[in-house]
Amino acid sequence: MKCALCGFEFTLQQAIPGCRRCPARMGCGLVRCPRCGYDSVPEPGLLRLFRGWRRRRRSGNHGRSGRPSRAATLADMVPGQVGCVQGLVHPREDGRRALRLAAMGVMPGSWIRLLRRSPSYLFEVGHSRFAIDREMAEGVLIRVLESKEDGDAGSQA
Amino acid sequence: MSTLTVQYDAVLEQAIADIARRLRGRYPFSKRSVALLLLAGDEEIGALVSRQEGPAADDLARMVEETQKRYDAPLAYVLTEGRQRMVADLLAGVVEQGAAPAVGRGLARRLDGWLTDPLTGVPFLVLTLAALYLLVGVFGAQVLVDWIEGTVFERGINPWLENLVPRILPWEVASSLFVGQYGILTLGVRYAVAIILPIVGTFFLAFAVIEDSGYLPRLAMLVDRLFKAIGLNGRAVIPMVLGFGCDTMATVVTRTLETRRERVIATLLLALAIPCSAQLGIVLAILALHPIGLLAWGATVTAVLLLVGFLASRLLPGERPSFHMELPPLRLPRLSNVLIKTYARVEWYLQEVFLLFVLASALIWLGQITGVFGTLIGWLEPVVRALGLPGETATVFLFGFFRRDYGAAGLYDLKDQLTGIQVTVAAVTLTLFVPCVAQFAVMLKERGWRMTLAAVAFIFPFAFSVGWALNRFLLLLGLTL
Repeated sequence: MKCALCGFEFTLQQAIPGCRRCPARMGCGLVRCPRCGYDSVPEPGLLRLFRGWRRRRRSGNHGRSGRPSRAATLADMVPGQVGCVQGLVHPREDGRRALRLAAMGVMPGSWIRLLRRSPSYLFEVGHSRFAIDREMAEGVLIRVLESKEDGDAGSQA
Repeated sequence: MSTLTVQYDAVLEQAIADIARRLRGRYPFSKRSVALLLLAGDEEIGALVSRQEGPAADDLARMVEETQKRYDAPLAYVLTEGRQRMVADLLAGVVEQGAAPAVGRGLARRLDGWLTDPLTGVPFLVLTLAALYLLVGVFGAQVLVDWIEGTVFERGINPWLENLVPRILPWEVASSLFVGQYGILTLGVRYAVAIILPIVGTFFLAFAVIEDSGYLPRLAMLVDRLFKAIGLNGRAVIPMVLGFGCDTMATVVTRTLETRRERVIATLLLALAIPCSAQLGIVLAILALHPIGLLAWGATVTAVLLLVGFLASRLLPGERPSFHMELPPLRLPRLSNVLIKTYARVEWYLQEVFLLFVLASALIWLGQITGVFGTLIGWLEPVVRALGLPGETATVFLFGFFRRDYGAAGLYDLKDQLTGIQVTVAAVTLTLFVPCVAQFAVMLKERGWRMTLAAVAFIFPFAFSVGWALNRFLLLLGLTL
C-alpha cells in the first residue's frame, strides 16, 4: 500500500516492526509507514487481511505480543511453516483419533509441513500428504520452527 | 534368521512379562504377542483369551487396567509410540535424507494447488461435471443408445424375433413372454443392452479415470465443510460419487464410513436423492430438449438432498464424524488399468441387471395374465394423474419398483408424448422414488430391516409429494418447459 503522507510504497509485512514499538500494539487498525512514521488507514480489504494476518502471526509467535500464550497446535500453523509434533492435547479422551493420527505418521517427534489451512488442513509428513479437519488439527501439539531452512534437520520419523 | 524384539519402556515390559507368565492356554503365536495385543485392547484376542483362560481372564483384564492407569494416552497409542521410536532409531543409522522432498513435480503440484483451493477447485469441479455429462449424457445416453436401440434392435433384432418366436411358440400367451409388449427379449434385453449398458459403461469408464487420477480425495477436501452440514464428512464423497454410477455398489461402500450415524444418513440419501448412472443418463437424454426442465430437475433433487440430509443430521443422535484422508499424488491414469476396472464393473453390473430384468419381464407377464398388473396400474393411475401426468406413466413407476433404470427407460419410450413440465415432474419423482430391488436387498443386508423399511416408508410418499408440489409450482409459474 501507499503512505498517505510521503507516498512511500510498502507492504504490510514491512509495516509490522513499526507497530511493535507503538503502545497500541497493532490493536488500533492503523498502518505505520516505515519511512516517515505516519499512521494511515489501510484500504478496507487490506485492513481485513491485516487483522487476520496479524492474528495468525501472533499465535505463531507464541505470545510474544505480551499475552499468555496457549500451546500451539497444528490448527495454529501458517501454510509453509514446519513444525515438530509434541504430542496430543487430550491424550486420554481421544483414543481413536490418536490412533488415526498415528496411522498417518503424526507422532511425537515427526516433522510436519503445513501446506494449506482451508478448506481443510493439508500437510506433509515424510513423503505423504494428508488432509484433516479443524477439530483434529486442534488436537495436535506442535512446536513451530522459526526459519524454514532447518526443516529437515534430524530424522524424519 | 535373526530376530529383533521391539523393546518398550520399563513399565510396559514388566506388564508384558507378567501377563505372558499368566497365560496358560495354547495360542497360534508367542505369549509376548498375545500380551501385547491384550494391552492394546484388541477385541478378537480378548475374546480368544477369555475362551482359553477361563477364570484367569478377569485377572488379566485387571492387569491391563492397572497398566493403563499409569499412562495418559491409550495403551495402543503408547505401544505405537514405542515402535515408532525404535523405527526412528533404526532409520537414523542407515537412511540419509536430502532437502525437503517435493511431492510431485512442477505441473502436478500446480494442478494440485488449483484443485484444493475452493476458488479454483469449484470451477474445476463444474468443468469435470460438464465433461462427465458430455461423455455419459450426450455420447452414452444419446448417440450410443440411439444407435443400438434404433438401428440394431428396432430395425434389426426385434422384428426378426417377433417373426420367429410365434412360429416356435404358437400360443399367444407363451410367445408374449418373450416378444410381447413387455417381453423378455423385446423389452428386458433391449433395456439392458440398448439403454442401460452404454450409459453405465461410459459412466464406469469416466469414474475409473477420475478414481485413478487421484482427484477424489481432493474433491473430498473441497466438500468436507458442506458435507458436515448434512451430517457426513468429506470421506463420504466416495460412496456418494459412486452412487451416481450404481447406488447398490455405493450402499455397500458406505461400510467405509466410520460412524453409524453417517452410514445411516448416507444410505438414506443414496436411496432417496442420488440417481444411478442408468437413471441419470436417461434423465439427461429425456430432458436434453428441455434445458430449463433439466435445471429444475437438478435444482429440486439437490435441494431435497441438502434439506433431508440437514434434517437427518439434526434428528439422528450420534457422534460427529472427523475428516482425515490421505492425498496420493496426482497421476496420469493408466489406460490398461482403467479398462480393466471398467470391464470388471460392467460385467458385475450386467450379471446383476440381466437377471433382474428378465425376472421383471417375467413377473410383469405373470401380472398381466393374472390381472394383478392391471389392478396395480389402476391404483397408481390416480396418484400419477394428481401429478399432472397421463395414465400411461403409471407403468413407468410400477417398473421403477423393480429397477429404477427399468422405470426410467420406460419414461424414455414415452418422452415424445409428454409436455416439458410433465417430463420434468416425472423425472424428479422417479429420481426420488424408492430404490431398485438390488439396492433394497443391499440396504437390508447392510442396515437391517428396521432402518430400510423406515426409509422406504418415508421415501414413497415423499417422492410423490415433491412431484405434486413441483407440478403445482411449475403450472403456477405458467412456464412452458
